[in-house]
Amino acid sequence: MSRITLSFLHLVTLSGFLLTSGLTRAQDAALAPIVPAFVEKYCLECHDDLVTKGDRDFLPFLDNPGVVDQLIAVEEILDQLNLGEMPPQKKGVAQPEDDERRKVVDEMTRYLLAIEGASIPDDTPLRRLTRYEYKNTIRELLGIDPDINDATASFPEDQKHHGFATVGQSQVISEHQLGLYLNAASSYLDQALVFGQEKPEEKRIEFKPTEFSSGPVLRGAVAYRALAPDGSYVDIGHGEPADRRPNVPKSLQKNGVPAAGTYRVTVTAEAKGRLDHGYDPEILGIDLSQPIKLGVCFGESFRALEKSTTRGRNIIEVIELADNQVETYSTTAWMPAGAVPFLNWINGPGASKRHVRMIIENYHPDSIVWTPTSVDVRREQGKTITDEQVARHNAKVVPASHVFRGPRIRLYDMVVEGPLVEDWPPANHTALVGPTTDAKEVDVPAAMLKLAERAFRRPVTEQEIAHHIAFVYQSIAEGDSYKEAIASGFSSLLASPHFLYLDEGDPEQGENLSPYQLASRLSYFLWSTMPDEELMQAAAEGKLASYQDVLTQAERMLDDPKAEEFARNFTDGWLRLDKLGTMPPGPKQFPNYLKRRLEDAMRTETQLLVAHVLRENRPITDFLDADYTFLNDNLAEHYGVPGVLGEPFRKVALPAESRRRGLTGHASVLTASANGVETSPVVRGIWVLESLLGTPPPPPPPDVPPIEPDTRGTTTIREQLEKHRDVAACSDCHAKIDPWGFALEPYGPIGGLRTHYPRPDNRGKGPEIDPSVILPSGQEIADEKGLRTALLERKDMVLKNLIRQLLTYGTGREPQLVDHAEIRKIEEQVKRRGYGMRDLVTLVAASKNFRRR
Amino acid sequence: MTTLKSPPSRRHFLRGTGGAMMSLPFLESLSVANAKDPAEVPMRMFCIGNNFGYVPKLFFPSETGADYRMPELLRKLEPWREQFTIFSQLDHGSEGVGGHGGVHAFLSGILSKNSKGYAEGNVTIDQKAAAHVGAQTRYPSMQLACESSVGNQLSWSTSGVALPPIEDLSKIFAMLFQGTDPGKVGLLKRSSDRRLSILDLVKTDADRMKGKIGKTDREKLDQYFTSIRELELRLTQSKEWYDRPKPEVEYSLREDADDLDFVDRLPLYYDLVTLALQTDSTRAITLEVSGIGDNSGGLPLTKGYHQLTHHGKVEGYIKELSVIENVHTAAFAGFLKKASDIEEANGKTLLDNTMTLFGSGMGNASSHSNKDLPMVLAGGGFKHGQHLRFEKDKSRGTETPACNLFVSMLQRFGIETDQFNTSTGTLTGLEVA
Repeated sequence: MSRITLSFLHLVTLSGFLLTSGLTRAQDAALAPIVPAFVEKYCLECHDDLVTKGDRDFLPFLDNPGVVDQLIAVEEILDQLNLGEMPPQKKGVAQPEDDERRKVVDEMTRYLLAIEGASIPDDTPLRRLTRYEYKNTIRELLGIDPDINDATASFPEDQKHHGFATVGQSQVISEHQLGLYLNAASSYLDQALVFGQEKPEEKRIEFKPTEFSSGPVLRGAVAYRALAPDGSYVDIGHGEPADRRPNVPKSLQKNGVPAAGTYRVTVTAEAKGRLDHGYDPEILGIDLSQPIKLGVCFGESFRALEKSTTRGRNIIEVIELADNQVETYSTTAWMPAGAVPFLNWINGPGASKRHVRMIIENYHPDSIVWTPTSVDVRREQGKTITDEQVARHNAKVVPASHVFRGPRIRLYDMVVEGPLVEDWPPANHTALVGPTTDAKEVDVPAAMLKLAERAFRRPVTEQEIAHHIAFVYQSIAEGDSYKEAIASGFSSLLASPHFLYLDEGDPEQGENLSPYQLASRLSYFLWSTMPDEELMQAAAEGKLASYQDVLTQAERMLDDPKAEEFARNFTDGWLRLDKLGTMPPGPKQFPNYLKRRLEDAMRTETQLLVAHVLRENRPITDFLDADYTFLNDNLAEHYGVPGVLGEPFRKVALPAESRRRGLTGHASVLTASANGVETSPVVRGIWVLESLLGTPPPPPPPDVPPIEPDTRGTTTIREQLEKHRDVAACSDCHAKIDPWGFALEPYGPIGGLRTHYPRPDNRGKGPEIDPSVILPSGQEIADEKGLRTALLERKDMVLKNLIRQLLTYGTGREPQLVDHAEIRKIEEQVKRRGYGMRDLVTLVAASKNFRRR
Repeated sequence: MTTLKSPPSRRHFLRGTGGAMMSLPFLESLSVANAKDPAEVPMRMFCIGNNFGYVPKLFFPSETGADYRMPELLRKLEPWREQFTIFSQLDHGSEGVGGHGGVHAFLSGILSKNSKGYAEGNVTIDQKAAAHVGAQTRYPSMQLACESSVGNQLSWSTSGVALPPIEDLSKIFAMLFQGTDPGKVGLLKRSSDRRLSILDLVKTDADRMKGKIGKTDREKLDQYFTSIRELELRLTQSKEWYDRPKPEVEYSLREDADDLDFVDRLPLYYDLVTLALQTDSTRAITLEVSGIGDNSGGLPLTKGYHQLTHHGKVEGYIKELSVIENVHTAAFAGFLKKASDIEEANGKTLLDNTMTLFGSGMGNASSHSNKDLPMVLAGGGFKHGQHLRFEKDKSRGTETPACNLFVSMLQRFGIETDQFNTSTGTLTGLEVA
């Protein structure tokens, strides 16, 4: 069912393979005449050189059914017959008898198996570490956090193959990228090595409320920061995730923290006025159902905080403040030198100007300051007000912040301690160059060899890197310091193709990967990073050879926290969540997307589901319909699921009528398959076909006029698409695509529920949404629940698709003909064991396909 | 922000928008543009592309030829109508179709994912121009962006990689005009030398690796070798520039330039581009304009930019959208003014010596169409002053690829070629003045 349709690229790959590799005994496997006879009888009417529906013409196949060039046609026809979608269930279309169909299917299957058995596979194209693999590997190699001062931020986007960045064939490298590799290596090494540096002195800096504000708040201002009359606390009444005026202690604004290292941030604070403000909640305009959340964050520089963006900001922890109860909270984080720790009311009202001003006007008239403008206005209205009167009035005004009872954070104290140093030199420095901060004492050849072995992920001889070692000495001879020379030498190893590319061997070593090569493939598959010592040890001792060896390692690796990387990176590619954030919803249409940090929450939900299904060996049907999901307060609020309080995600049971059961109800998927403004049943339909069923539709013919949405009248996208489908060139494919997407129309552009389309003027409801559809198989479904049932009925297709996706992601190549028999074997095993995801992943890892070069 | 001094006679001027004036001292050693032999004044290329295109009915004139009525979005360009040509019904055919994901094919004609079958992948015209210029300028090319989006990267190298643009005005200014501390020049050179040595080392590694891998792998590794070669070239070329001082200009960038709203920020990019071209710091520039930033970019809008492009034909929204689009065209008009006011040593204006392409890889954002791209070509010594509409009928083979325009531009740039990506020739109707 895999190759129902083939993109152009795919066609090229496959036929290229057929030409270059050849099929040794292809002629022995002949196709019995019943197949061409069947095709002529049932398919040709729509698929010849005249009609050519779906861009398929089977005349060449009928002319020469037995030649290998026609294998694709055979596979496609077989897929369609298995699927039951062809011949279409339409009036006047002849349908084969079940028996007839079965015989043809059996013969085609037999034929393909014979061909596959005789085929010689291609090598896996050389593949380079993706950006995230590079970062994770740097983390392991150098013992630093590469996300902070992220030197890979300027790397070009990885080229993807159907969502996966790990596919060598699609990867590119340029001088630009190579230059950035050099920059990144030197910047990360600079962080990792502490030559010539003294142990930094641990400092404790206490920031009093006066560090945040020098006085009361007099009127509505964008930032509400009011110092208590006695200076004992500061009230903070503004804030949001990308707040442009976050609360940074004054004395830290210029230089930030003095040295890189781990810092402890301690705050003493309470929430005020959340539930007991007594004002009209309409005026406040803030959703106060959640506790007030204090974000403890840091920016890489103060400048980075001056823009209304979350870029360059790191949330260390989100603290839910107790109401009217002073408590002390503490958290730690690694920060680079110059970093600026700051506090932010992360679920706050944004700017406080409007509501504070209105509250003063409505509740605290005595606190209204007569500004020069307001005085001018009154004078123009004919009132006589002398300057003295103004001065007298303003002198006795009670500052607004003395009477304001609205929601705010009351901060008593902030303490930053650090850098907290346990060992000196730090463990990661010692691991790289030994326990000395004097670069001259380093055993250069030994340090270079050690790094090379880890970086190249295999044993390395000194001779092999002799030129890199000589370079270090040569640099010293040319006047570089030892420190510079060692860093250059290390950089040269981190720019070597042995590091940047995964070594997957040469034809002479035979069909399979060597144990070290397999260790890397496994490690990048399940951890997205280099192998650990145990894997390397197993490779060295010959304990990474048998099927059982690999199974054992895979089981161990899945229990390691590093397996979260699999849940992140495989999921991103498989479900195309990499598209999240590329067309972010507008802040006006969906303010909560940014304010409630929904993008992160959405992604987390889906990753947690994948991680859970994997860890617990739950059946893959949990992806299609699960009676649970993972939510935090923000996402639960978005979904309208009651009773989920607080930032941390937890497993939440979903009742049968819930519309969040399975991936098709996940906001991540629904947002990634929309464009941030409106939904498209076509895009979502394609998502179901590609990501779940594994049957991507062919690309549209080049010259179809696109649909320009017209929302002035009352036509719905359904009516507009129906018109589109009237065009013959469009109807065949769209009849297969659109129904899946229409069933998901009750979910809006960021996955919220809706019953009607919005009206363009946002006033009232637009046309009602009708999610009922007839699937290409003829099956009628009423809504998204019916969709889930229909998907469950197709779980075997989903399974097969997952196997293919896992193999593509893990090996860096699309499965080839030779892999098909093994794929069917995995499929049978997983089915026998109850469709468990963990079984699936470990069986894929241990499969012949996975171990093949 | 801008300082104004009484200039000596050989200074060249450029007037900024809003009465501000930029002047530029004439420094012979710095500027090929001002060489004594007029024939030596080089041709430059400047391409501007936005992310969401322009509302077609407000962008394309109804009439063709010289007597067209200026469409609403181009009204600000009226004073220079003899200096540019509007093209309609030009696009990249099926190789450039991909909705939002098709925008990045604007200057190449080919989507990144379709680039495999082409000799130079999805290389863009500015990069062809840059390769031609080589080390003659401090920067072979510059990629700038006023709000960048991954989907709208304008410049792509022959190796199929998008060149990320620089967004910070202050950084662009520093690259162009901020001198390097003489004490640091030595360090920079030393660092370049180190990098060149490292490239030697890893080339040895790659040579050894080559013998031990399969055939398909070798093709992949060849890309790595090419990257080494090209990076060596770049490092060697830029090393030569370390000792040469950067040009001095009397333009100072506002300190808060990068914090300004979109409306105020966009013209500053054009200011810096003008200066970069005038000082011959580079001869190939792309300017990406993708979003309008936060706060509606300082414009009175009820919806976001992207949201407005999905106007559903509602007039009110089209109107709001045209407010944004007019900011784009007005800033471009500002550039035309400045560039046509600057006279260069060959007696022609900077605009005459700079082929300037303005448009988008998006034809109609409302329908996500990459057909009929908005394109205006100004300057560059072409015969302008007209609206050229190309008839399209694929079945009769009368479709004109936009790449034909690019061939005409590359030829005018001095590159001997009769082909660029999906071209079928030069562009009929576009003559050299």
